[in-house]
Amino acid sequence: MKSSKLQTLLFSAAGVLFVFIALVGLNLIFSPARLRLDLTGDKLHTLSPGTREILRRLDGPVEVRFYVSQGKDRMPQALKTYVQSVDDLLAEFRAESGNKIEIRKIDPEPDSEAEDSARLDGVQGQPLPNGEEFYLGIAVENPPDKAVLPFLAPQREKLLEYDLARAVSQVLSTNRPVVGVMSPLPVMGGAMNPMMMMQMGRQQQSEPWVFVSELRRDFDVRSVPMDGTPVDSDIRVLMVIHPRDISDAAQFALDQFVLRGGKLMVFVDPLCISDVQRQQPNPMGLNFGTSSSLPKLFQAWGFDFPAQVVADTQFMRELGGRDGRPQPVPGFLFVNASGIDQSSVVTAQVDDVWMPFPGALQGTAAAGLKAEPLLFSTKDSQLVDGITAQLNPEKVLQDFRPSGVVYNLAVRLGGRFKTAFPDGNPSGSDTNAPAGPADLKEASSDNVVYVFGDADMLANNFTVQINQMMRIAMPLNANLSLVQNVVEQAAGDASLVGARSRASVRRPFTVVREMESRARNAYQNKIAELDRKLQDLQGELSKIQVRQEGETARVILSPEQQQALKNYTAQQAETRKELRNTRRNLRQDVDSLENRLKWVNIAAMPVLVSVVGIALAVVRRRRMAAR
Amino acid sequence: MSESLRNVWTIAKRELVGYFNSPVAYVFIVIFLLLNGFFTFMLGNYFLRGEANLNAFLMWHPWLYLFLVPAAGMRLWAEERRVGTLELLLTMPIAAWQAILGKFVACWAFIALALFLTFPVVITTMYLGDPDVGMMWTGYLGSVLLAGAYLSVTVMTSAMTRNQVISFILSVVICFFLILAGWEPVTDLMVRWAPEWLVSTVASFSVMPHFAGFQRGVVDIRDLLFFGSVITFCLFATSVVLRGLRAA
Repeated sequence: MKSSKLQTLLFSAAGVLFVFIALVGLNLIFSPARLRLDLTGDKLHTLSPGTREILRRLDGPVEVRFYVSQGKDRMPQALKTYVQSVDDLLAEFRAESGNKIEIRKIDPEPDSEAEDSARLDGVQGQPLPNGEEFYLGIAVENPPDKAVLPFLAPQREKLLEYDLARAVSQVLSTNRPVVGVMSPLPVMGGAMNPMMMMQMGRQQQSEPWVFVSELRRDFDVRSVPMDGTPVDSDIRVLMVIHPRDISDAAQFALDQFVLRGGKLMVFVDPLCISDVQRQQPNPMGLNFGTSSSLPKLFQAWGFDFPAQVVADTQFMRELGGRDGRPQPVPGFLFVNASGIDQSSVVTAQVDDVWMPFPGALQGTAAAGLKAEPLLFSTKDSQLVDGITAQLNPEKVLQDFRPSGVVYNLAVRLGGRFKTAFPDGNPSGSDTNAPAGPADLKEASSDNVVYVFGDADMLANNFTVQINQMMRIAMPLNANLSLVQNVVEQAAGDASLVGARSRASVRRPFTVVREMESRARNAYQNKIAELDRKLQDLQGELSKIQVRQEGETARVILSPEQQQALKNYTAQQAETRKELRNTRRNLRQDVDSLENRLKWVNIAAMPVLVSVVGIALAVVRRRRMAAR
Repeated sequence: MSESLRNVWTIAKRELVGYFNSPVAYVFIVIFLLLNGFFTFMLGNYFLRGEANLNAFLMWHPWLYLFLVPAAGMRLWAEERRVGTLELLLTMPIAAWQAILGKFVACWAFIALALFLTFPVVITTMYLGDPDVGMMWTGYLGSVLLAGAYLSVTVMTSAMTRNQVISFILSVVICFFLILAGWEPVTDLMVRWAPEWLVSTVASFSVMPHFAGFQRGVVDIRDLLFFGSVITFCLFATSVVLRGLRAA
């Protein structure tokens, strides 16, 4: 009796309520659980270990403001899939951070507070075809630090996780990393080089090179003397640019810098044409470039850096020659995607790098080190004499014999570095020097050195076009972003190295694309031919018409002429029609395929089901009738 | 235990065979397939998207099921009540929950079969491009679970009334709420006047965010738990209603 009472209670409204609360509670308990299977082929929704490491380090809330225009006409259709994947990734970040990352999705409608907020955060509006602007950007804030991704370009989709992780890591670290620059060139501007100023006298105080001012947005950039004094310990990245005539003592300083974990970026050059101060007019009135290397260090790392220039006929372009005529210069390399490592984070999005007269980094890396080429020539390349390459490119082309070798133009060298100075400091025991830390013989952990076979690639002439009126520098190529990528990678969070580039979410209809390009190839000639024919006919017609007007009304067109006029007009109409049809044919195959598939998908299965249903019904009826 | 499972299976089989003895099942499947094809290829701009995935197909399911699933399930108990076979069924030597589960499983399997017959869209996608197969599997899994959640709601409303039309309408209304609570345009509107926690709590009752994970290729234990909870709750409520009827 008692149990039936209990049952009545349980199965009453109260019971329903109880079950409801229990189930909601169960869902709540499991809501922080992150037990899941990522069944996508490329593990699209699984963050890389580097990103997870960064997110795990968060100790307080970080606000992510995701500015995205919403609504039918305010975001290009093509970007909607991409927006979805950004959403997903942000959700991943939040979940992985244990909800410490707070996401505010903001729709910057025109003339709204939200739009002002986007502008204030530095998120940039992008033009729509109708003249309005749409927003797709992210600001990450952990007061007082803020990192902004002004526009999430879909071209950088693969790097989205890396970019976001970098932004989070930027707002986590309190002080800006210090980047040192060591160079005999006036890279840091005139003010940093007073001796030179005095010598030059009349020259105005020059400004730093554009790449320095760009780096100053994110880093403290500091000049480092090339005199052999130890590199300051707070410098995280050291850029050595065209170290011509470098002393062993200075190389020792670099050696020790690398061994204690500093990140070194080297730009050596067999022919640096930007080294103006060194250039003294010779009797012929010509300026020659100078060369640089790090002989001691390169030897220890297993590099050979010949004083010759890489000429590549696939990467050359025509440049203004001495007499102003365009002329191909095989030593001036315009490196495109086929000479750029697409798998490395620093170069994956780089497509066009200019290297004026670069050298080749040859040899095999020393034991314990691994060299990964970042930039390389094609096989249509050859090592040539620098001066000839600069002054007589025609001769280089005449004598060109492709070596069939792919030369490394820039290399990422990683591993456990050993000293290049096993006998200690080459400047001897300097008793006056303060007793510093003992000389290191070997690095305690793995490190990375980036070596570029060219220094001119940093010079303003070959990186930006400066609009003097508006004081804006427009990038000419990807040189600046490449350098920025490398510095960021080197200066940034060590975990960022592990943040990989993601696979693209997009998987297009390859079959349709192939058909379209096939059709385009097939019809291209025909369209060109018809276009030409149309122009010819136009010409003939206008000739007759001119004749007609020239002899105004005095002479009526002869019957033959009239006939010709009629013929041409008819032909013209015919050609126009054909051209229209041909253009339509371009998509015909695709359209008919799409139509076929559409109808098969919509109708085939229902028809089949109906047939089966009717057949079964008939069979059943017969069986019934037979009984 | 195996005895009760066998009872569930007996009920389910009897029910499922019953479907195919009438033309209604075929009509339902044909309409289901026609609507799916039409929405995917006409309204979903499958070709215009040019993406080798099932988004144009799956995105309609919460809306298609809104009407199709109640239509399939509205008669489950209402019909028994109207014809008066309910008492008969309940006096059979099986527990009420076994009958409820059996009928539910039968109807669910029937909808799953209809869904299975949409496989030409998978073949088409694989022919046109190189889709992510894992993502397609999870998409279908999510769709089946979504249909299960709707169906459990319909089973519940069906037990509440002897009128199939009322059962259908009630079920559509409840399922509609399950969509809207987490549908982005609605939550976006709510954000303007309701506090964040309220919006997210309400949204967590919706099928939409839980279905989204499956569409992306992720099987999350929380999404499984959600659909499981909806089904459990509705079937439990059904048993309460039926018990009340028997007591009356």
